[in-house]
Amino acid sequence: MHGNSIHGDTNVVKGVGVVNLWQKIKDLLDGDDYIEDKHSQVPLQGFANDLKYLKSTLGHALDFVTREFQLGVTGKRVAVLYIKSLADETKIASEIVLPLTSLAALIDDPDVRHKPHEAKQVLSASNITELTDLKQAIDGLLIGHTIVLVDGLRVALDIDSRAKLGRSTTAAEIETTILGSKVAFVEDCEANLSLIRQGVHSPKLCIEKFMFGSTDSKRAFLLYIQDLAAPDMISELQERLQAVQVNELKEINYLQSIIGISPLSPFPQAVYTERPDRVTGNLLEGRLAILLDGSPEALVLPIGFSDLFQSPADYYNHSLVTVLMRGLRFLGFLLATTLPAAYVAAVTYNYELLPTSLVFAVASARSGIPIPPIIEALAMVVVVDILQEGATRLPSKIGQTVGVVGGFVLGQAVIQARLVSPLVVIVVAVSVIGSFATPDYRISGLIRLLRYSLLLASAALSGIGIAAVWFAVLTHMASIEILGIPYLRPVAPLRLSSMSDYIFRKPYRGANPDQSDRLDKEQHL
Amino acid sequence: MKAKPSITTFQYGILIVGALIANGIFTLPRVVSQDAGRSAWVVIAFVGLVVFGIAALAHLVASHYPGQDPAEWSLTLLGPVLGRLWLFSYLIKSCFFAVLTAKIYAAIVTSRMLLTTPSSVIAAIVLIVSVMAVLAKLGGLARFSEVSVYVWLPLLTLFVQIIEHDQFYLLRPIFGDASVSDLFKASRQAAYSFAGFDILLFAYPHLHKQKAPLRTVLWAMVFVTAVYVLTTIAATTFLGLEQMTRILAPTLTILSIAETSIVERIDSIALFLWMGIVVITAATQLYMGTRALQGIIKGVSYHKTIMTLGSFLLVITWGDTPLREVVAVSAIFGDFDLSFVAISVVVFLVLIYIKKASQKNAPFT
Amino acid sequence: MRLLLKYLILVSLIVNSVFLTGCWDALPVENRIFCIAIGVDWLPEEPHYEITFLNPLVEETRSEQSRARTIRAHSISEAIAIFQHTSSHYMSFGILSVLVIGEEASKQKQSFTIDDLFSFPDLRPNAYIIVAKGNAKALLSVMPPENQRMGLYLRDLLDRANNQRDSPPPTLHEYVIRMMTPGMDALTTMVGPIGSLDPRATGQKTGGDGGGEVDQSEGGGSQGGQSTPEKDVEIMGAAVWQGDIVVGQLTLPETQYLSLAQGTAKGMLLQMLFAPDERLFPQANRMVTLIEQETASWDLTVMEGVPHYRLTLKVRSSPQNYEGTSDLSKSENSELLEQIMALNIAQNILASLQKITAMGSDPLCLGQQLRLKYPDLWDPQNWGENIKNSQFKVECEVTIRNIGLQILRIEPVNKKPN
Repeated sequence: MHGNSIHGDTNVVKGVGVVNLWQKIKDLLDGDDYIEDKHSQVPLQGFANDLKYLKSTLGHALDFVTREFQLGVTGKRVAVLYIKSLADETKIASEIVLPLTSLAALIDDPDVRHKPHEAKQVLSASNITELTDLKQAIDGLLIGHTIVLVDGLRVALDIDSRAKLGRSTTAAEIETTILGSKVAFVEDCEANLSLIRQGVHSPKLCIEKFMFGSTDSKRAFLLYIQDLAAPDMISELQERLQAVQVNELKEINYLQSIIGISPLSPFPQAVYTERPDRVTGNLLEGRLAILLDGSPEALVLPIGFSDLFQSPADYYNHSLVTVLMRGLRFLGFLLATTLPAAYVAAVTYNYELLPTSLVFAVASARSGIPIPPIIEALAMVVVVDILQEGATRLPSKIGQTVGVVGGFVLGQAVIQARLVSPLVVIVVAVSVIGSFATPDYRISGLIRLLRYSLLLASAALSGIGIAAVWFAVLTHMASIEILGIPYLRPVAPLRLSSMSDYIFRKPYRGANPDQSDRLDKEQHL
Repeated sequence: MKAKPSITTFQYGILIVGALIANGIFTLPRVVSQDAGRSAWVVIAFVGLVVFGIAALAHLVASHYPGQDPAEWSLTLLGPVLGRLWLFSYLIKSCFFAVLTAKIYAAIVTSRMLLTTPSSVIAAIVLIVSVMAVLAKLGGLARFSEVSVYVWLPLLTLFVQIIEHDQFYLLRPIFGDASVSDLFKASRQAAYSFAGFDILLFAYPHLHKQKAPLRTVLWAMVFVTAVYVLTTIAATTFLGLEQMTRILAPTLTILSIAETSIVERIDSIALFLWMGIVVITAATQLYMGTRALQGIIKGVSYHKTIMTLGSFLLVITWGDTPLREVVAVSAIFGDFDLSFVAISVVVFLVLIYIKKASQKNAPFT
Repeated sequence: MRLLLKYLILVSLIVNSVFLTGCWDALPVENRIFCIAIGVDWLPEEPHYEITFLNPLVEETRSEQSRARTIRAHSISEAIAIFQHTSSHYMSFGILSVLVIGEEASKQKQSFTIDDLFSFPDLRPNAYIIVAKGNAKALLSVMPPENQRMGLYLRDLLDRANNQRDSPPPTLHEYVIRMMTPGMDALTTMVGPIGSLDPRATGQKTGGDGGGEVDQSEGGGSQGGQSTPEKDVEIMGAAVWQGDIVVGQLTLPETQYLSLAQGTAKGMLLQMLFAPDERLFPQANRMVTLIEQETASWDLTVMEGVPHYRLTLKVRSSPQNYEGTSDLSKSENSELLEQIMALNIAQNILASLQKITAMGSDPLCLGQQLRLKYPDLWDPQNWGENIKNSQFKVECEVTIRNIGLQILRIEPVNKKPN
């Protein structure tokens, strides 16, 4: 077997290790066993046919380069194929073409068989894979690899010769923190892998490769730490990834639905993060991560509802500060979703819940307002949401103007015109501010959904409506299991050991990271 | 078919608590005090003890079939015809119970808060949420129950604060007011508040680790009984017997009197927050009815059964029923439910032991 | 697909049930008229009841004004119905602060009034119930100082009284418990306006036909008419109830002594009046003492069918304004003061007890003691009469903890000029 693949069916790229090309060529020329690839779709059929196939598939592209030459007096033909716009030609010339021409000279030396040691040093390329499937060869070409075909060899050699394209690592733009690492992922998977490697210095880090897309194939990498991640979880995700059949996969955001992680649920069940430190932290907790070529984000799963309120900065602050911050975020979430509905319920039905002086303030604020409280609140919430959507997409200079105008219009003019009461403006403003407190911006969509649902329910049935919606949402959350892990963990099922990093964060006292709470389907039940 | 382990021992206990607590938390003090007078809390404690005994026997029955629930082993024990008849009775009982639970809560809400809203709307909402909870299967139902119980618990602390130490004399003499027949009648009235513990029969096979679950049943029953006793004592000392027996939901009246600096009418908040435990009670009954129906009709899918049953319950829930009538019906029904389960459990135990004895005496094959 | 369909059905069921409800009970807060105080007065002629509703004016955000509306009706529920009929707003009792029963009305059965009020589920059960000295309407028409809303001003006054254990006023629910439980009677605070009670000075209309609204005056406001001369209210004692009827009154000191007898006087400033005593009180014979701690234990024996109650009282107090000339730092003087105080307290408590039992009232729950100890002798129906035969003995022990600082005045010596 080549490499240490766990399940034996996938290509495992270990990332280190030099393959002795000459030894392989020698073995193969001597007629060693043919290595059958079980997933072969277009098997190799000989040098000429293989070359013809590759040329016919990619020859229409101007940047597709084919260099053919012969090896010494034996006349064995060699073809080096690559896509110029993706591959590093300098590397190809120095690590592949030049050594091959040297090989040609060596091949003529009848003593070469007695000097295999010198022969092994022929190719200096570090990442060489043997392929028996031309489709895989095309996939490799399309991501910048170089394919070497040698007449008589029953394999094609796939050599990593990708050029450094795209941007270099930059600071995180979305998940910003005051303390701690600032670096973020980029579109290049290899660079992202190296960022993760810098955070996880463990030999047990496993990286498995998957190819997605029939018309636009891309590489995806599944990462986990062996002995930390539950085997059941790993195998389940592997099966789901292998079952993916798509024409193209533009972004990693689509992957969650495609692999069938509760596609109908608006609750985020995976974390999309641009931060390597977040990924490494999750890997060390036994979670799984997925990287995709062209996506500057990683997909981390499984997560629970409580993970949406955790920020990488929590681990750089004092544990008491972390407790406060997490509590505030959760409070922000509750305010964002429930405050407008509570306002409508109190003003329309249950005024007796308010202190007496507040009842007078509310009644006097509402006197003379022509529209019912529910319409008032709905209108304000809709306008604020539209403003938010606009401000997100507009260029920053115009976006600021929108914010100012919107604030002025909403805050000042509408109150002076006595269209809405000042109280509802305050309520909606606090609600919107509360939505900013959550570290994961993807939860904002959920917040909006809940906010509207709760508003409508409170208008119909006061607090009973609010309670009904929340309990209905709770039943949904209770039903979610991601790779066998309940979404409401560690609250339900209650797991006290996991509470050390829930709302609270246990202070570090020389804690052994190996003993940190791990996601284990067996243990958490 | 072996049940898939999906709940922890703690969740097992929480399910039992959730299945019971909504039956008695609202109206139990009044219902029992009408006959037992000041002895109400003693009667409740006694009934709790008796119910624990029945629950322990039920647990013993369940433990003989670790991978199956009553939908399966009842057919094995009673045979296909009698087993189906038993399951059918169970189904009717569960449906009735779920509807009753929703109706009691709806009647309380509409009598205290939403005066002109039809109570059937509230009951329908409770049933819809219960259906959603049951659709999540037992694992999801157990998780939902956990969170709902956590939400329900904090307001209980108010009852401890409310008990007035200088009015404990209102609880005395403990056995001065009621005769033995009155106490017996009161204990039968209290039975409804403990109905629903038979969820343990259906939940037992799903236990992940079947380690000391009888202890779990014990603490669950003790906890529920303690809550009932606490609320009854609080109601009697705080409101006085004469007033308490005239209030349909004395627990909520106590909460309406308790004040905090920020919020005054805590009974309204209790009605909102305690919807969860009402849903658990209705959902556990619905779950048992679903499983019973699946036992009667083999091969029918879980989701289809729940949706059908839920839709049927929604239809029969329609119509307003005053709270007094609903409470009166529940008292009668609770008596029947407890007797049905107790007799069933005893019969099953006898059959199990007969079967075991006959297997021992069977000739070698 | 099937799962999606199921979720869609469920969601549509939920959404439909929410929208189809029609929001039957929706009533925005601006469509309500709040009632912060209710006054109940009795008229000798039909329809007998004169109900005053005190409604805050919430449109005026800066002023703290209220409007008092008086309606004559046969019952409080009829008065509310008449009010609703003439108002575009819905009367709400969720922030009710005080229920004021007029002096004459308190002599009528109040259970019907209370019943009517409790039929409103949003009624605030922690509203105070008090008896007005004179007319409830006049009390609610007082313009309190600092331009506050009258109902809330009354509530603040009663909150302070509650905190100071100074004639602790019962809330509605406490009153109901005592009203319904045999062997327990209520003692409600009696509050009266300070100043002229001449209605002509207030510009208020009086009289009218039976039924319907009588007048509408701006209590606590300054709109139209002359301003009311009453500027403040004060607690004047307590009304003594037997069941749901007031049978007598107590002065404020008598109420305080009853609090001592109940054991609820901790924190109370007791006003004491002594007989002149050349040893300790040669001139001033008034003193206020702070009750820091007290324990009251009751004992009951029945002799020849007559209940004999013995109260043992231990009081720890600190005199606040001793104006005598004796040096209380000397033990003989402080012990003497303790004895005098103990005797004073015992005598006054005994007098208060005899007074209330003579009225047939039992606010100290003496009947409950009889019920517990002698259940055969307990007759709940006739306890109002039987209590009049009760005998009392009071033993009191006072300990003075803090005498404060006694400043000795030093007279200057006259110096002859050189």
